[in-house]
Amino acid sequence: MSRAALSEQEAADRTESVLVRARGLKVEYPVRGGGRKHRGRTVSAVAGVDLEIGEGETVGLVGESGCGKTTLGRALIGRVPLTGGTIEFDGKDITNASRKQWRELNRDIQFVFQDPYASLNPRRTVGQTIAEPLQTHGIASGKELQARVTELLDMVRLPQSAAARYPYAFSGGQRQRIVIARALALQPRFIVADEPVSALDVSIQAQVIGLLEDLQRDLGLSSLFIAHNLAAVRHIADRVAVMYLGRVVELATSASLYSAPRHPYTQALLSAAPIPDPSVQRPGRIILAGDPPSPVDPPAGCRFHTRCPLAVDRCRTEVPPLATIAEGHQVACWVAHAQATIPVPAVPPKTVHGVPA
Amino acid sequence: MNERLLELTDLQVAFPSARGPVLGVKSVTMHVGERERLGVVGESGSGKSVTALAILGLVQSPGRIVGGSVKFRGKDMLDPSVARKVRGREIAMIFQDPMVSLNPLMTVERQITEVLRRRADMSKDAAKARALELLELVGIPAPAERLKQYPHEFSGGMRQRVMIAIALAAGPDLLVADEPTTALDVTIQAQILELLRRLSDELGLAVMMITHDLGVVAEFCDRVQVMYAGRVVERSSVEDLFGAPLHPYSKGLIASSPRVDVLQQELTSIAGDPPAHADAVAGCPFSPRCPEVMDRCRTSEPPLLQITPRRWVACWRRQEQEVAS
Repeated sequence: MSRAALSEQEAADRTESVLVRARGLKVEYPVRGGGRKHRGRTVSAVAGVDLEIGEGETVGLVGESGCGKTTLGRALIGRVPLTGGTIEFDGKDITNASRKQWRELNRDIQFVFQDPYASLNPRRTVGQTIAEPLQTHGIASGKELQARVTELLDMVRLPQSAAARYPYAFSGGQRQRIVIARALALQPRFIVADEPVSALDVSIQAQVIGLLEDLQRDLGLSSLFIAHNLAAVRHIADRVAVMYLGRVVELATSASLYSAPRHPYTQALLSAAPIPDPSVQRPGRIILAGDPPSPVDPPAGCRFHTRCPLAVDRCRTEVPPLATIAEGHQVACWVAHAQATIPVPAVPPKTVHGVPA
Repeated sequence: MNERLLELTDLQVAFPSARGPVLGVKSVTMHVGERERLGVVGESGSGKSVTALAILGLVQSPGRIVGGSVKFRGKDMLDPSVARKVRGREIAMIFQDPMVSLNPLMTVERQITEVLRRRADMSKDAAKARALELLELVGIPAPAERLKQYPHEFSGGMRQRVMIAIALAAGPDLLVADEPTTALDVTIQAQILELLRRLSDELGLAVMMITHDLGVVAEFCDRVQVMYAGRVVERSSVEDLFGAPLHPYSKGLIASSPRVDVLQQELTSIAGDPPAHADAVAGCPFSPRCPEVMDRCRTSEPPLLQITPRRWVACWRRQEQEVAS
């Protein structure tokens, strides 16, 4: 079987089991304040993103502050109005779901945010907090409810006695596990976790990452794990998407992305990440100059070209599509396309992987 | 070994609580040599930031230094009049969030020249010229135009460069850097670490790098002190610490740090949580979380002892093993 045929077969397999499918997603905000310079302008926070998340799959979403990763995550849970594009969940178009419809959708789609201190109501016991979604959706009451709360606490490795206590009695790591228990209460199929461990100490982060990994394996959960820490994502994600200024610039299996990053931005990110081992030699380390440009006035063509060490003329005018350059590896870079091991189609195919021009 | 710039001996800092005073820093003994890059690593509540503030005489009430000594070139930094003279001149400090220390209503030029006039007794013109040199030194492009701008016109990374320029204004010998890259994106963090490395080499500046990030320690520091619950639990060269950590806490911390360069089969975490304050646990403060705990650890606290010519550890088990071998 030829390589192209194989990847088509693979694509077909994935299409069957895709749970979340975003196409051409765009989110723009009007600029608030900012003075004369920016008045009446818009921030292009997400500028045409295609992303699929399969059943039981964990996709990592990484990038630096302002790249649009949090906005993308919030768009997938209906918290941000879209400027363009569509979102499908389990084959149904949920792009224009109403608030009421989202209430139902939240049985399947849940989220965990960064700050476990802000996401728990200090006046409610842990038991009340975890029971709330079950009561609101009329799923359980009385003894059954208590049993379910105990079961959820057990799932996140907290004792039954935790139910009667208030959030202040718990550490950051424990609070984040309480937040996870609440997110799991309705047995969702998809979870968006936005920087779920960044507020925690390193020795505690591994507890929460390990818990999320176990839950995904045991419950067959799909998830989008958003983080700025590439090392944490390597551990948890099946595939990883790298965002820069509103666009996905590289999307690949974890193994492929970390061992052979193809986009110059991904290469720079990996090269900049400190490694806790002084014996590792890092020749040819890339240190990017300057800061990312403003998303109010993003550069034309490839948005990374202003900082890219490899930029050629074409990069300054034409937007490179996210195209497959090797099995399970897509990149939006003209230079990487030219070096691809399989031919990159001149026109992006009308598959779920292509980026509309 | 080179001359010692800074020496802390058995430093203790107390904070009031509902149940009477508790210790934030229980016992910290450490030194920084001339031109040395010392890492102080620990998690929240380890006392690393309080230690840094104590060095500069900046512990804020109701916190109080209740024991020990801090000497900079033999001068007593616990004497407020001495600390005022040394701070900003011989020892400078940078923090995680540069916005806290920059005045949003003043141009960068004015902030730097004020420091130069006050701390280095410069004339107005000399201070302006020096401010320009300083911005160039810390790698800010178009420094002449940037001098006329306000802090909000700078990105996070550029603000941290401005803070470094201000810190260097009076030509200090020691820079205390408290999580200077924690709030920055990874590509900007790499730029700032590169800058600090260059400045440390070119100016012969000693740096005390306070961080929770073992990656920063591995890439920047020569020597390291690991802190836990207000104490130093291990002290060694960076190579020794990562090559063969001695204290079970250091081991746990290294094993739980995820890496981008290799795929770890399983990230190990340290069970439980750090104690609420430095005196919350009897015996060794790490004993409730320690996988190698012995009976003795629960009742009696191990001192920080030198067990090889270059290594110190506060752990009964390691010390017993050393005696046995």
